Amino acid sequence: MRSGNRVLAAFLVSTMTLCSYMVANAASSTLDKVIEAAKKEGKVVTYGSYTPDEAKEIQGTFNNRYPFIKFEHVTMGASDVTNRVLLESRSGTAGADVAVTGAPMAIPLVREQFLRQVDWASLGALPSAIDTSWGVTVATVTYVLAWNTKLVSQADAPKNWNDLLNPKWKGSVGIWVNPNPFSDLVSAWGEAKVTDYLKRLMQNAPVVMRGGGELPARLAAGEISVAIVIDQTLRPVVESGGPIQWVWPDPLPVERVVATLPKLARNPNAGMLYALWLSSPEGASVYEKVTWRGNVFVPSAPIAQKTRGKKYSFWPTDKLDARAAASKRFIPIITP
Amino acid sequence: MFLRLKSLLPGFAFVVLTGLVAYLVVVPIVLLIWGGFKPDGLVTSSGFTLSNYIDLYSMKRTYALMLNTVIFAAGSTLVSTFFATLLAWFIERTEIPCKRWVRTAVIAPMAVPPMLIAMSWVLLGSPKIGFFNLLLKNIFGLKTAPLNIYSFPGMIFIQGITLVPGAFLLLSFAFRNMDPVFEDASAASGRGVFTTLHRIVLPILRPALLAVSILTFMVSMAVFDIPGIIGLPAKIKVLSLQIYLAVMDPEGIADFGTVSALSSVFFVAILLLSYLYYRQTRTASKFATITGREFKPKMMDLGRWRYGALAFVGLYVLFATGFPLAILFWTSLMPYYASFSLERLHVASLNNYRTILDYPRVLMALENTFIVALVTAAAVVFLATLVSWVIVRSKFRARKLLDVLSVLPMSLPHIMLGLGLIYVYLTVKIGIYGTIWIIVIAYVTSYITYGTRMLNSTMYQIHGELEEVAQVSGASTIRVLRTIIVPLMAPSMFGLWIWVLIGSIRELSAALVLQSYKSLVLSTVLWSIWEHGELPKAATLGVIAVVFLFSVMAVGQMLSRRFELFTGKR
Amino acid sequence: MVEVKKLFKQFTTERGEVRAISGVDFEVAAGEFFTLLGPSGCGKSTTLRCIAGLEKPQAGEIVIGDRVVFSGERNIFVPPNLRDIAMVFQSYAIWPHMTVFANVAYPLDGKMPKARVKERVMDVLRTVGIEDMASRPATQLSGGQQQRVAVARAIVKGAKVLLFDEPLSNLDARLRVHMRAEFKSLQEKLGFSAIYVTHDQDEALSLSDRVAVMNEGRIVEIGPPAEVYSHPKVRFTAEFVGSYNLFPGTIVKGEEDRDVALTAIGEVECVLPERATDQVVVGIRPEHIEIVEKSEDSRKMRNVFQGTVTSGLFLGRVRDCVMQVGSINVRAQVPASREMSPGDDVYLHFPPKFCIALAAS
Repeated sequence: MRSGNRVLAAFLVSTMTLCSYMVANAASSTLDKVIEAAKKEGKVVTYGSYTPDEAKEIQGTFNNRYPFIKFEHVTMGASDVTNRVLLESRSGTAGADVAVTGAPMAIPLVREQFLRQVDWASLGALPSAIDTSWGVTVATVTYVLAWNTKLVSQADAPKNWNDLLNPKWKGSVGIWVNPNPFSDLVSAWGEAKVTDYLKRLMQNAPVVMRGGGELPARLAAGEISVAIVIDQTLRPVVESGGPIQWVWPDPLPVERVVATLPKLARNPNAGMLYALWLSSPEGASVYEKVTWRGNVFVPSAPIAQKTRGKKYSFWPTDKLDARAAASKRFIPIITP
Repeated sequence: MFLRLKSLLPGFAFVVLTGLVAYLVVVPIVLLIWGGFKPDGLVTSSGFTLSNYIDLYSMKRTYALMLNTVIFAAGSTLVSTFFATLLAWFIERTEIPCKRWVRTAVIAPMAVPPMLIAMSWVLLGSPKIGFFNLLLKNIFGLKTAPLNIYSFPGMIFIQGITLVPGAFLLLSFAFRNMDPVFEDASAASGRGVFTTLHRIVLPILRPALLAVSILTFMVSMAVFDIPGIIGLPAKIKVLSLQIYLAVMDPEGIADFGTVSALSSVFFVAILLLSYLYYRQTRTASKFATITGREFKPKMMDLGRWRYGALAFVGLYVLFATGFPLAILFWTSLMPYYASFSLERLHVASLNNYRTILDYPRVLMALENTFIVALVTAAAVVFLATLVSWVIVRSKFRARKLLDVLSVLPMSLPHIMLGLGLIYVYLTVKIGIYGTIWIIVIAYVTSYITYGTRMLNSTMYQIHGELEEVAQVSGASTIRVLRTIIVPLMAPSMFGLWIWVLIGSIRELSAALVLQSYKSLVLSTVLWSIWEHGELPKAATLGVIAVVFLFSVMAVGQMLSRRFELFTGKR
Repeated sequence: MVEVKKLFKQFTTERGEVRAISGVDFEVAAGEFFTLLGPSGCGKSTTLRCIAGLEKPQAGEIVIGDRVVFSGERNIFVPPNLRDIAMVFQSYAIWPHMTVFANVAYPLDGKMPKARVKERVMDVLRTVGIEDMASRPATQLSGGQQQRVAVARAIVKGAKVLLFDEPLSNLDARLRVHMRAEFKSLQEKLGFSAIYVTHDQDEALSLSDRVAVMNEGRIVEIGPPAEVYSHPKVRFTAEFVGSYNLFPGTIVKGEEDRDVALTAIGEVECVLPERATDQVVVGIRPEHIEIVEKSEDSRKMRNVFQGTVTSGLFLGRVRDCVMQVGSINVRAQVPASREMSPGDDVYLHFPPKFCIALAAS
């Protein structure tokens, strides 16, 4: 290189280094302020769907890094979280500092501006976790096609969506009464294709069930042979030896699970700290290990590795209204 | 002047009592109905709309749904009342052995959270994995499963069975207090057992039977676990399921507008049924059966029907209590939810029982649960006794109002009750939001109906003159209550207390809505475990609840024997 | 002791307002045995319950002792537990969850030391004759025993006024007669005022110092038993108390200023309690009718009529016969020794002093 270019290169490199150093420092200095404030608050109340024993481990790991925060966790389903925060905010209080819920579920709170907007980037959050200012992605919900290994051989097992339309599964496919996975699929397929698929699936007489523990349990018991379930819900059954295996389909329905901060929270900084940590690779890793709910947007997360190459079908956060509308149209198809 | 004040006291007390009940009951209901006129169903929103009601009631689906619901409710009520009546009669009025055990066995399933019972029935009656079907197929070499719970009749039958404990408890008090002179007269005229039953006993107990049927009907419209776990896969939709679907809105915020509009159906139904109930029980005083006169409790000799009765009771206990509880226990021993098979026996273990206490904060949940249950039970018994007394015995013209008020909570889905209370106590900041006391209020409100129905029917059976002669003998109102009414009502009061105690331990929907970190109770712990998919762990809690029930009842039987409340009665 | 003035009470039923008592007036003196007699629904029980304070009248006044316990005008209502009364109910209302002793001691509880209570209760039990049952549970008593417990409970606090609401209706005939006598002697011995309600005229007549006959919410007639029985002033009393032969007639003036009624069987000399109307019913009790010799002299006597026996029932002490006299059926009670067969001709004498003429309506 000619000396002029060398000088330019050196200048650019040093500037960039200086900039990133400054950015990093700026991030860490904002973060430091948050940490200081959180120390003074000393406590954080969380609403989320993970159970108390899961919370123990997750919070334990967090406390390794930030031991000065005490936790009060209330286990609530995603829609319950929304309702509670809504009611509380409308009445001028906030019971929780962090509300972890599915992004679609948080929309009503956003509409009424009950959530704090945070510049997550300036705090050093992973870019892939930032999709909106009112929440940071801490995990993702992913759906799988699962089967009972005692009733279904590896060869017969479904590999992808269309396999479920095979008449051999008539009357023994289990699906959730909630149309979520199909709403997510609309992003990759478009609503017309999903509607068509759903209608054809319904002709295979699937067994409709409530979610949570029922689908995996009844699958393991053999009441149904295959099912479309959230992979996370299979954890207890599989960990205790249940005869279930699964594949992640392609396209893969994905929903963001976000940690939000109610505006009226009493411990906003502690909340922010916790939310930030949850969205980091470290937080995501322990969260996935404990709950089986990973974050496909964190490249180092096991789930991201297991599902590499598949098309993630998810809605951008600013379009979630449309997703809700599509869901409403799917419900009568599943339960006419 | 003092006399004047004193004579005003009953009136004042009446107003206070009615006010309290009205507050407990009317506030959530008003919020419910008012919410129906809001776009999103929550009273805190702005706006006014009729669209919730219009949309709902203009859909043809809604009417099909209501028809389904009525058939379902009527069917389960029939099943439940049939079994409950016969069981109550056999146990209270005839000579069958082991009565105490039978009584406890009939009531036992009630200690188990309904979703666990439903899942147990799946393991018994599912065409693919149900124990009964597998057994019958094996024995008779059948190709297809003979029993299918995923059908309208199946659902009705199982729901009916699960409603028996409540109906049975109510009816057994009515039967117990019936003067045997009526049955004796029938026997003396040469009538046999069944004639006596259907021509004498049933007509006399008509007010009680009617009250129980109506109550059961209302409950079966509101319950949700069986329609959810069995009805949904069977594609049978009823009102409570529709409410669940409305709550499960994809946007997270439940469609409370629809919920309110749907719940208003309950409300109207309750009012209608209450009206029917009044017309029937207006002449209830004719049926006063505790007169204090010649009260020798005599058990009826069944003669050759004895074996039939024994068989009936035995089979009922076996199928309605024995099998479901056995499967529940089985589930608690398994690592994961699985049907019964001999091959699996080797993985059975008591692991879940060992680890259940390790569950975080389960001890706090236990403590909270006990406090809530004890306080709720005491409050309900206290309130219901006063309310029943006023309704049945006093001469206030407005006592009908009190009666209607006490029936209304039946129309409130517990979710709405919980939400309503959140709204109230976030607004009226007396510091109970987020504590167990808001849960206590929710429970007390929801049990007022059952409590007053149970105590009403006993109160009707106490002859008015027993109270009048006490008054004439110089006893003040309070003294009459304390020395005459309460001792005579004590068996019913105790039965109610146990019922509410067990129910409060088991109750879930309201606690879930109202929960906070400090107010964790056993049922919310159970729900977490359930939602999470750990059915065997949840079953463990169910089994523990049953054991608890048995112990409470055993203690109760011992105590009542000591008291000899009705000398010579068992 | 007790004054009841212009009492009005109505009930609201599904059929609308029902007047139970309209304008009832009477007084009961201290130590008097006063009976309200009448058919079901006449308002006697309601009146009693108003005196007890178990019902609240719409208008009128009730005074017990020197205390106004109810006044419609002055808006006074003393609740039952503060009135100086005691009551015995038809159903006895013995509390099944207490012993005999506890039942009887109840009115005294808290009002005097335990030892005195015990003394008094045992005393009263002795008076009523059941002192050996003191510790027996109430549910192990026979009807008659429960009766006595009810009475014991009523007299234990020494109330000046005792109210009885058809207390003997549930007993068998023999016990009834026995208890009747006991009531009377108890009342005489203890000196309380008794207000007794019954539909049984034997009870009313044998127990009372005065009887008030009630019908349709009103008092029809009050008087001592003998008068009410033998000289009723009103037709209803005659019809209700005992059995009267009644037949219509018109009053005409007879010889020597006697009152004579012209009836279907001829002229009947009778006693006229009040000269209100000319249209009357003439009545004579079966036991007052005499059989006289069939002779011409008899024929010429006043108030003698000829009749034919249609039936005769032997009742032990008397013979109860029905005779046809003219167009009227007449019931008579004759000594059992007298033979009567259907078809016999007899001469009946209606002694004028036992023939009463009452206003027809």
